[in-house]
Amino acid sequence: MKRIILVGKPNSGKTLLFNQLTGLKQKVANFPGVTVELKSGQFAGYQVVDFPGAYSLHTLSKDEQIAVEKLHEALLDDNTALIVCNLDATRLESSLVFGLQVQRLAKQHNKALIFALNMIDELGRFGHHIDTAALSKQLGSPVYAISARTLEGIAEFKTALQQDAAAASAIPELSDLRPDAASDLKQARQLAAEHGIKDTVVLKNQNRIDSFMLNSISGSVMFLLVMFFLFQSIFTFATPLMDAVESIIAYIAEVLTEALGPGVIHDFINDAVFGGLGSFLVFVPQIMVLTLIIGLLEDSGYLARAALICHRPLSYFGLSGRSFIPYLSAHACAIPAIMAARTIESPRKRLITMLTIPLMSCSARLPVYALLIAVFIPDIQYLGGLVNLQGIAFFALYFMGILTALMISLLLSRSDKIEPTATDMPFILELPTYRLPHWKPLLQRVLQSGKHFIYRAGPVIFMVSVVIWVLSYFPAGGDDLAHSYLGTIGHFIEPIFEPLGLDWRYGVAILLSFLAREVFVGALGTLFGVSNADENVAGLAENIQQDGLALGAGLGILLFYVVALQCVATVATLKAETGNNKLVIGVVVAYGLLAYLLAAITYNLIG
Amino acid sequence: MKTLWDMPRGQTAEIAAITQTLPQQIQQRLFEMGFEPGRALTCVQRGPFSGPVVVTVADCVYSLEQAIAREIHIRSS
Ligand SMILES: Nc1nc2c(ncn2[C@@H]2O[C@H](COP(=O)(O)OP(=O)(O)OP(=O)(O)O)[C@@H](O)[C@H]2O)c(=O)[nH]1
Ligand SMILES: [Mg+2]
Repeated sequence: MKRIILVGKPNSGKTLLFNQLTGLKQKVANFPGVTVELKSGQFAGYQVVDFPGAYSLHTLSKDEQIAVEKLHEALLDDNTALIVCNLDATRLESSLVFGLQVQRLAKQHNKALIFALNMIDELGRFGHHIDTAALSKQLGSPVYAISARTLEGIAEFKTALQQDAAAASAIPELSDLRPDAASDLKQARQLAAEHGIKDTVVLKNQNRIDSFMLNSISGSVMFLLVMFFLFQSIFTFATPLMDAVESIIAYIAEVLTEALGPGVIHDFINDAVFGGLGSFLVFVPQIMVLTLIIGLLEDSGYLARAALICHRPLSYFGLSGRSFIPYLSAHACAIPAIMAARTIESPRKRLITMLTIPLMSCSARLPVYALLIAVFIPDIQYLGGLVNLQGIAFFALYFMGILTALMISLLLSRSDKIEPTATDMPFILELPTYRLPHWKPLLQRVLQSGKHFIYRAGPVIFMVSVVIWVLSYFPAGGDDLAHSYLGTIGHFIEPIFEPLGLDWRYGVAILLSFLAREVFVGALGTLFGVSNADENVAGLAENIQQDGLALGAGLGILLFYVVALQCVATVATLKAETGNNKLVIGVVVAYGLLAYLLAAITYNLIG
Repeated sequence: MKTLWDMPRGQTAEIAAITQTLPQQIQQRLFEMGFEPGRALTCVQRGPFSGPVVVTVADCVYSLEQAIAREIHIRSS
């Protein structure tokens, strides 16, 4: 299939345009360096490829390097029909710096190139108009004014895209325009001065907001408030939704099991399906709230500011301000976060960031946290419900993860084994325009995160629940858990968990959660379902309370889950991104030992 | 000579030179970003606690950490 490739300056709207063309939903966010690998989709019989952004052909970071390397490959490939160079119309000069470099390359390889002048809606809001015909003539390549957000000019652009990809009419003629690379730069500046909007107009609002957001005092207060709000809201906003899901599941369970009447099938449905899977589904709203809040931050443009604010403090731990964005997104999932670390300018800091990302409390830990917090922490409100004791406990757990990551970073940065030869690139970060959230894609993403959560862990949890149920139900028929098949197996592993103050049921749940962390909740749900007959299927927390779990042991489990790296997919991504298997395995083992040790110490101190 | 790092908030100045001993790729990047002698830049904000300085040059706003901001020499315009 013939290919259309989409390149341009970071944060210029390439991916949003790509999504509009292909109907896909790749990640769009308002900071530079969102796309870090090539993504492809289809449009009108062409394969469209979205590239990571780059400021220049002379690259500094890994994501830029990938963009430029792949661009060179695409130029040599006969299947590349057209290069679309995306320009941010509100930042014409910096867009054209890269744009003209690409145009020169395209000409050298005899490839067709067109410019997409994106974000034309924002320009319109300032009352500025760009004469695309004149610009196109001066550039020697077609220019199409579009807005990937309001879809202005998109229909015409789609038609033009097909025409230009089919005919080679868009091959730039620049031999007579610009003699060399130095004059490209000069030309970019001239064209921007002639056609572009004045920077004082575009940047005025942004700079005014920043004088508040980045001020030493108000900026720091804002930052802390935003972070506290983020973690608190995962709890506060999600609780009513979770309660709703819980009652719905309990209701369905009741109706269904009543209709079935007593017997093995009844017990199976009740314990394995509702006890196991149900206690996991309760957490879907929480994942969605988390995605929503992170998405709002990403769309606003605040994340780049937060990265800036964190740069100094993070430098102390051997990290970069740019580590902040992967760290934050790791609270949803470590895997995209490890990929996102590609934007970190210094190879050393990038490696340290990647190795410590798994310590951030990803959403798979949420069910475990929520369950044990519900068991131990009373539901007390302060400030009229704004702050909640259970919410504070959540915050503390997240904070523990971050703190551990910082300590490990400090250790790693002092070690000379971590990329000792690489030159350190300086911290330079562009601050994007503040924008209002783009609601439709954001809400789609929120839904997607819920679905993804269910699809990823749901089948595993279901299977584990079924296996556990069978092994624990027979041969005693659910009356004597300790003498079931599982009970017998459990007693073998009990010694491992004795120092943590946990009996075999918790041990089984912890071991099984190496399949997926959420399994912990599902497995316990099934086990307690079997032993408690029919009461309270989704109310696992109450079951644990009644059963009795020592405070120290519970806190120990929490710490264990904060630190342990139990996710196979994360390990695989780490291996691929670092290319250093030994190091990664070392880290996994170290985190495992640390987790176990912390849990044992906590239990022995608190009891 | 004064550098970008010494600029107070709100001040506009002209770029005088970039330290020549910086690695070539970084010099190149700064140049492409618009940090070229003769051009104006404005310090928008001093980062909190001697964090990165925020500066407008060309049509962009960048934050630069001390290590690099000290290599951009300015003269008042
Ligand atoms: N107003 C407006 N905003 C846009 C437009 N296109 C993109 N955006 C916004 O610009 C930001 C960046 O969009 P992306 O599509 O992620 O940009 P990108 O070029 O793919 O960025 P990188 O992957 O980081 O290189 C997002 O907040 C978008 O919502 C547009 O035409 N108009
Ligand atoms: Mg992108």
